[in-house]
Amino acid sequence: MVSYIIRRLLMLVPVLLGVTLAVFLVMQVIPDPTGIILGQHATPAQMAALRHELGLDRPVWVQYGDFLWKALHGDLGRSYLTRAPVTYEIGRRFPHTIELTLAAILIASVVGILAGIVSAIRQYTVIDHLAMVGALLGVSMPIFWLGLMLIELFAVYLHWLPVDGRITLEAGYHFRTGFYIIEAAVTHNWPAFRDAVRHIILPATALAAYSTGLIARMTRSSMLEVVRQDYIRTARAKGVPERRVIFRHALKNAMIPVVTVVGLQFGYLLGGAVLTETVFSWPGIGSLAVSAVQNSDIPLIQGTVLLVATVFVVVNLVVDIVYAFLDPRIRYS
Amino acid sequence: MEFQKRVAAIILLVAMVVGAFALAGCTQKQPLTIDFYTYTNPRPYNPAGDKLAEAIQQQLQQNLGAVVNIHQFGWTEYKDEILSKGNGQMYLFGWIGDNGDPDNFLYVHFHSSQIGALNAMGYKNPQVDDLLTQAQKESDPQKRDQLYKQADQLIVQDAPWVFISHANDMVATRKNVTGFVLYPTGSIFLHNVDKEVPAGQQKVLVYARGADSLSLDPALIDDGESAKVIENIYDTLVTFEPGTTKIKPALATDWQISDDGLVYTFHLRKGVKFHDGTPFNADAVVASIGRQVGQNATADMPYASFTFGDVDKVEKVDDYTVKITLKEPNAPFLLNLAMGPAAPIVSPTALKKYGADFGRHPVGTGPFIFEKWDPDQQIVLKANPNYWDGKPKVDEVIFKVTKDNTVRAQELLAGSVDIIDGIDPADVDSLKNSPDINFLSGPGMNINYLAFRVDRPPFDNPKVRQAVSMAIDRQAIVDSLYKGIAVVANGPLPPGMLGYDPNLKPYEYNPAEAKKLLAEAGYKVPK
Amino acid sequence: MSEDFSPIPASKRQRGAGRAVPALFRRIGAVLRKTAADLQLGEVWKRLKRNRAAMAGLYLLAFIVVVAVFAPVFAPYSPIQGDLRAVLQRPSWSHLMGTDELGRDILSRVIFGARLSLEVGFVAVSIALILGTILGAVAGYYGGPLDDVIMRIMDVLLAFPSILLALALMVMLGHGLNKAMIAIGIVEIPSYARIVRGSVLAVREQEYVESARALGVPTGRIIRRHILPNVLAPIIVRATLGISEAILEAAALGFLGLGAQLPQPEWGAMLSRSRNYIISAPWAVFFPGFAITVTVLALNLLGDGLRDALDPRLKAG
Repeated sequence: MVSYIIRRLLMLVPVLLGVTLAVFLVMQVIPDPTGIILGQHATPAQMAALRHELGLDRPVWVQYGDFLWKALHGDLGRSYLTRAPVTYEIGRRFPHTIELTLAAILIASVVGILAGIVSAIRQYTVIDHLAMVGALLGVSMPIFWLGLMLIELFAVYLHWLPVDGRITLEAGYHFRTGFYIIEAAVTHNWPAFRDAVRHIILPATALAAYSTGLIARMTRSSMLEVVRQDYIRTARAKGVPERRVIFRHALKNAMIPVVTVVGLQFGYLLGGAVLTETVFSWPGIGSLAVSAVQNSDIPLIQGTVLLVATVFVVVNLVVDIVYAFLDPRIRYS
Repeated sequence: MEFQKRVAAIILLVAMVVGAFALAGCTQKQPLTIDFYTYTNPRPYNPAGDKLAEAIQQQLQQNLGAVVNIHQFGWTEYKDEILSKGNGQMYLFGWIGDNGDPDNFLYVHFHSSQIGALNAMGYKNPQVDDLLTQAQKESDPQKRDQLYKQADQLIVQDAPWVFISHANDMVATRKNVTGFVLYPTGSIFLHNVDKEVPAGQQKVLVYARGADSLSLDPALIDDGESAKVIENIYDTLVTFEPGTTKIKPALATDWQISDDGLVYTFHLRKGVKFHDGTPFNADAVVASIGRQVGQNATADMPYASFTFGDVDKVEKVDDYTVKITLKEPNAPFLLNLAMGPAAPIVSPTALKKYGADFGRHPVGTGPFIFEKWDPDQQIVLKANPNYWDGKPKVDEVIFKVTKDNTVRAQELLAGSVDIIDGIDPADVDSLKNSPDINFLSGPGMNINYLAFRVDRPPFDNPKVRQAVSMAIDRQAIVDSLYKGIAVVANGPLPPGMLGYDPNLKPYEYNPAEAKKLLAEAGYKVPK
Repeated sequence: MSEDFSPIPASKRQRGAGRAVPALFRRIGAVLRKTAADLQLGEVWKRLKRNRAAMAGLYLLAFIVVVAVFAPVFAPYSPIQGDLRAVLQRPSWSHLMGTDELGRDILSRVIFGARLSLEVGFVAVSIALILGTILGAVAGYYGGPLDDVIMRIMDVLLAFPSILLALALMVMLGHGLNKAMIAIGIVEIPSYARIVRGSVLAVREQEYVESARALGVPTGRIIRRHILPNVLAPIIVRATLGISEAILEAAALGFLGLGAQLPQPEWGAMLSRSRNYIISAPWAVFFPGFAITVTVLALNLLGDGLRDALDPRLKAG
């Protein structure tokens, strides 16, 4: 097992190197950022000076080495637009994205697994059909449209929930970190907690829709497969109560593939956050990446893409390892 | 016989050649094809964003049969595309005259020395050049007014632009907010704004807007959202009388200008301290301005050349006297010193301490002290109890970001915020009709324009420029896209500005005439 | 050289394309027929027909394709010309889905938008399919360092959430729908490469392939005869679902303002341009998104059905 983990970790190195190279090369194709930085009054001499200052007049591989070296030391350059360090911009926003993603994972796994189990137990009933239609809709709707429709229904029409934003800023809650809900819970600041939860419901639901549908379908088919297996039949034949059969025996085994799917969703949700955060004005790195793209803020694009890709790769690795723990059938190859 | 045959053959040949040329001539007539560049997101002078480009595209297709290819870009990249790279045959742009002087409209756009900068059209008219240079050196307002009016006439005739509209400045506040004044320059000063709250409650003023500030270092910004906050953290040497573009003392109590207009001597206010305790004095002024003058100005200071480009040197005479020497006279120089970008005086201690990160740790002498900044969410400022011009009326100001225009309007209607700007045309009526809202609106000092690159085909041909100008129904655009929050422009200057001529007549909407002109220019036009 | 894969003989080519083309078509027809036989398409169709959900998806998709192809017939108005004096009108008998912010008929735009979305889905998947199949087949068949290099590159592509990678590629390629197709196509390459490589690996080691190789049967023929039929089933399923993903991604790029050029009636772009009116004109937001959902739903239903029909063993919920 240990050697398996070490081998997987070693395999991470070329992938991460490839990721940095890809991020670096993608941005190389952009002609010349000096015009964007200097604005409308730039002279050719100024532009040449800046190119030199930014090291753009050096050979590409030297630039890449430099980029890699600095990235390893946590220096991703400065945003062209705000002139603040990229790590600062990302650091201030990433906690918001993490909290949103966690909320979405929570919704997706709870709702998805429950719906999947109920569907499997009540196969071919109305409940099953409804759940599966819902799951199918979940994987078919564009996140941003679902988000807008949720806003229209719950915020604009029913006035149950806020339209967008992270928290009611006017209330003057004070947070030291970007994890508003977690921090409010830890500090027992219940009004702030309630407010933050109210703000997160719609974006997290929109973000979770696709994963919920996927997990529900996965759980259902996995459950159905397990239920058909011999040991379940044996248990039933022995007169073990049905509820116990389902929750003790079937569920435990059916959950193994589901866990993987849930884990892999984290990466999908990080990508989906790009759209959700744009719709709900969520101050995370998804909306940061979009505004960076819209403003050709290359260091910021590099930083956000690099961060998300790294997190994505690492999370997937962790999921693989957890899966290997859970399922002894996996050969550590 | 033989000869006749030959003649017939030659005639036939000639006829065929002529016919072929005529045919080729007919088929060569192509519809007008235009590469049209536009920015994507709404701007203060164009709240409709790239919908304006789409509306223009629609009209040129309907009225001229023109093939208009739109290229859209985010704002930063857009400026690079059209101003630095010079792409596109026509493009949308706009201008806010943040110092209130016509020089800042006409010279920067139409003087031939500005080709390659804001005069990206490549517009060159020696008469206009002369008039604009004269006006810049002239100090008598009446003479300047006349010079600018003459220039206006020539520009409108040449039609390097389609003068689309001037957007109104609009701000809406709750009824319990008092003392808010609209400035023609778009400046936001909250020092004298008060909010009525139940006794014992903190006075927290929430100002909601569409986007976050980029930086709070006045030297590094050129955007309105940054300027709004900066104007409340810092002071300038001189400032505007409320609601006007008249200059009054601020950090400078009085000043003298030498007769040749080259030397400005400022006497500074005594006993003023920066928020970090640093005393305000001549050293602070020299540090603030000096870093943006000449060789000191770094590439990322977008307003340095505009505000201080003519400055030769800044010198300390004594602790409370500063002398600024210009290379040549510059009539609007004092106005520039009242603006939000570049001009505000920053704490030299903090500047040294934070270096490149000063923009995230701003320290000024202004009515409000920087408290915290949650990116894309809010900037919180606290009242400065020791402000030299009296403690602000409210205890705290929150500059809050609410991206969606309509949501922002709803927040104001619901009372969760106190002041909003960036009002969407669609929400004007509901705000105006609400009994809880004060709706403030005034003519904006801006121009929303469509520019032709006059230095290359097809718009080097004045007939094509005129045809396109006449094929755009500006009134319909203003009515449908802006719903009465803008007025149709009649020239480059907004109403009320020095040099504005109400009698200017730009090429008016006339599709039939436009078609005729375009046909004369050799293009295929629809029947 | 096998007779199936030999290029058209030089002598024929010189005598002109007139005869070569029908011959080429005959050859393609033969290949398709053989492949169909290998796949037992009749059986598949029978199974598919029994699946009501899949058939619903198929009919829905057929309807959307017909609407898209005959868009000028179905659309009551021009998708680009509008009346600036009749903007944002609510749905009525003259404008069934209302009008947008430039006074254009939303129904007509939605109908013409179907063309763009189907085109994007089809082209993007074709790019991914062709490149992915080649890369996967090469990697699987030759193995060794070539395999390593290709699959590591695929790993790198898979290390990015797809929408983020598409976004970054758009920064590189520039704006526009054509570029969006390429970006999405590139993003989708690894999933095809992996499927193909996996199938090739599985088949390659089997005895009959080994013996064919030992007998000196040309590579091209081995790939076509033995490997392709095995890969085809998962590829067809993947491609059907891939089209729906590509449509969603293109709409997302459009929504972020990177996909379509003005005034193209691309559904995602329509949504992003009308989102400011969610309070005053919700219909302008509702219909384009609804069209995306219906199209993607149809493709998903069909894709699920195809998966079940093509390989009963692959059955998933």
